[in-house]
Amino acid sequence: MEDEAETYKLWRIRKTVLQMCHDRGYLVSQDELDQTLDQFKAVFGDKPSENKPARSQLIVMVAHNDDPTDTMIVQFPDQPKIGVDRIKDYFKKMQEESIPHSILVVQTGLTPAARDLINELQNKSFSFQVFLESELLINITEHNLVPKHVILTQEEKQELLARYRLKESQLPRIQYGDPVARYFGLKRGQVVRITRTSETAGRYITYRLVT
Amino acid sequence: MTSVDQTKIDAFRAKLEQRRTCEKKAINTCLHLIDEDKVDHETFMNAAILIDQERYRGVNEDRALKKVCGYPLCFKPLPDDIPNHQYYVNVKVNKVIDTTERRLFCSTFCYKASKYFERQIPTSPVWAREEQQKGNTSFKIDLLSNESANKEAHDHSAIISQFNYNQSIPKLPHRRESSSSDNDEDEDEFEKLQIARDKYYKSRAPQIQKPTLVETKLKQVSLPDYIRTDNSTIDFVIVCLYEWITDKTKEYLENNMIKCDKQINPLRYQQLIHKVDIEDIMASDTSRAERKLPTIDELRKIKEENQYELKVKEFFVGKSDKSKEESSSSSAIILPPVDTYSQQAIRLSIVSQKIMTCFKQMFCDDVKQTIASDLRSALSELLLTFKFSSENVALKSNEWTIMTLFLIHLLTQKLSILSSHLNESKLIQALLNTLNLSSDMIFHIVKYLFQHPIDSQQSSESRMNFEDID
Repeated sequence: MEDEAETYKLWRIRKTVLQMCHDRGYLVSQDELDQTLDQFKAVFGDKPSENKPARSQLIVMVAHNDDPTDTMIVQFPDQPKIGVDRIKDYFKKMQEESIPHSILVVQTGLTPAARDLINELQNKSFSFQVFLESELLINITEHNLVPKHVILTQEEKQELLARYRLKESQLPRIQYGDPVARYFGLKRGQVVRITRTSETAGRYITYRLVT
Repeated sequence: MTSVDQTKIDAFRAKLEQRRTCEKKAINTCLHLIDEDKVDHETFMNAAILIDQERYRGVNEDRALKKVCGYPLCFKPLPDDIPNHQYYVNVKVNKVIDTTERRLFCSTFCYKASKYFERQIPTSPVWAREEQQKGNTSFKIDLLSNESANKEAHDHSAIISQFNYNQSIPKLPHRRESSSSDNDEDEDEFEKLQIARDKYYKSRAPQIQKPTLVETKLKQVSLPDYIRTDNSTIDFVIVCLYEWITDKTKEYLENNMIKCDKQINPLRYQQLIHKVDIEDIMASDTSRAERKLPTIDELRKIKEENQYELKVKEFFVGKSDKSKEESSSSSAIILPPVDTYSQQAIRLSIVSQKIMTCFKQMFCDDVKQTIASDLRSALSELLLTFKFSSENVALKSNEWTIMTLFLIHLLTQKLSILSSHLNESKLIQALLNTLNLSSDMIFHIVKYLFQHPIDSQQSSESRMNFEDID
C-alpha cells in the first residue's frame, strides 16, 4: 500500500518535472510526457521501498531545442536532507560535464549552510534550482487560476520597451521567488507576458519584469 | 546631485558592502567548521563571533549528515545504532522527549558542550557585531570540558533548557558518573536527563507553594514562644484567628451585651469640630467654615468605602490620579456598588461555608441533636463578630479543620455543656492527637489571644494622635 502511494508520487513528480523541462524549451519526447502510471511502473519498477526505483534512478537529462550545448540535469537525491557535501558534488559534476543548468528535487530540504553555498556558487554560467518534492506533485501552471505566462526573448523585450517608451523599471514586477517564475526558471531582468481572460476586456495582456 | 547626497550614498554603499563581507565571512566559517572533521580550539572559539546561532545549528546538522559528530571539536563518527524515531518515551517518569537534536551528536557530552557553546553565541546579527565590540569589553567564550562538566552542575540545566525551559534553573544535585562520553549508552543518558528534569520540577515545586503567605503572616504577627507549636500550619491558623478576633467577639463570649465604646467618644468629636469651626472663623476663612464637617460616623464610612471604590476603579480603568477622577467622574464607567459591608459579607460567606462543612463532619454521628443545633447557631453568631481581611480567609482544607477545632473550643466559654462533650467525642480527641495538641493547650492559646488583642496597640496609638490635635 505504501509502495503504491510512493510510486504514484514519484510518477507525478517526474511527470511534472518533464513538463517543466518541456515548458522551458528543452527537448522532451512526447512519449515521456504522456507516460502513464503503468508505463512508469514497467520502466522503473513499483517497489520504492526496495530501491526499485531508487530516487536517484529517476534522473533526467535534457538538451535545449535551439542550442544542444545548453543542457539541464534534474536530480533526485536519495537522502531526505541535503548537506554541503552533496551540493559540492553536484556542482563538481556540473562543471566536469559542463551542464549549465541543474534542478534538485529534495524530499525535506537543505541545511542552512547548503542553501548559502548554492547562492554563493551560482553565477551566470551555472544555475542551480531546488524544488521540494511536495511542490512538484501537481503542475501549477495547469491550474485554472494561473494565467498563461510566456517568456520574452531579449529582442522582444527591447521591442516592448521601445513600443511603449518605457524604462525597464517602469514595468510591473514579478518576484524571482514566485512559484510560476521558479517553474520557468526565470532570471532577474527577464520579462514575461501574461495573458489572462478578463470579464470586461475579454483577453488582457500584461508584462512583468522579474526582480 | 549635491555632494552631501553623494557622501550619503557612499556611506550607504560602504555599509552594504560591510554587511555583505560579514555574511560572506559567516558562510565561509560555517563551511570550514563543516569541512574539517576536527576543528582546533582556536578557530572554534573565533567562529563564535563570526556566526550566529542558527548557522551554528546548521553546522551541527551538516556534520551529522556527513556522519561525523555535530560538535565541531569532536571527530568521532556517529554511532550506527542511533534510534531513528523522533520521540523517546520514558516510562519511568511518563515523559516524551524530542530526540531530534540529540541524534546529531555522538555522545551526550558532545551534545551538552555544543548546546553550551551555542548559547554563548551572541544573538545580534553578524554585521552589527563589530561596532558592538568596540564599545564592550572583548567577549569571551568558554568551552565545556570534561572536567568542568563533572564539576559544575549547570550541564543538566543546559539540556533541560533545550526542552524549552528557562535557563535560570536552580542548580541541581549532581549524580553523573565519571564521564559520559561513551557512545553506546544512549538509553541510559536519556534516563539521566529525565531524572534531572524531574528533579528540577521537584526543586521548583516547594518554592512556588503557599508557605510564602504563611511565613509572611507568621512574621507579621509575632507569637510568644510558649503558645507557638512546632507545626507551622497550626501557627498559621492561630495567627488568622488572632486577626479575626475583635472586641465584639470578646463581648459576645462574655455574654456582655453592653456597648462600651472605647474608641472615640462622639461627644468628644463634636467638641473638636466645634473647635475647628471656631478656629476657621477666627482666621476669617468663611468659605471653609460654611461647609459643615461630616459627623464621625460618616467620616469613618467614607474613608473605607473610598478605598474599595478606588481599588475597583483601578481594576476597571487603570491607575489615575484622584484629582483627575473627580473632574471626569461624570463620563466614567458605571461601576458596581462597592462598600466595606459587601466585602465583609463575601468573606463571611466564604468562612462560614468552610467552617460549617468542617463542623458537620466533626459532629456527624454521636452527638445529641440539641447540642449540635445549639452549637451551630452559636458558631454562626460567633462568626458574625469576626473581622476578616483578604489574606486571612484563604485557608487550606486541613487548616479549616484546625480552625474549626479552635472555634469550638472558643465556644465552650459560652456553652458549658460543650466541654464535657469535647472530652467524650472520639473524633475530636483523635484529631487532637494527630495534631499533637490538647484541649488545655488550645484553651491556653485562646486565652492569650484575648488578653493581648491585636489591634489594641494600633487603636491606642490613633487615640493618642487625636489627643495631640487639641
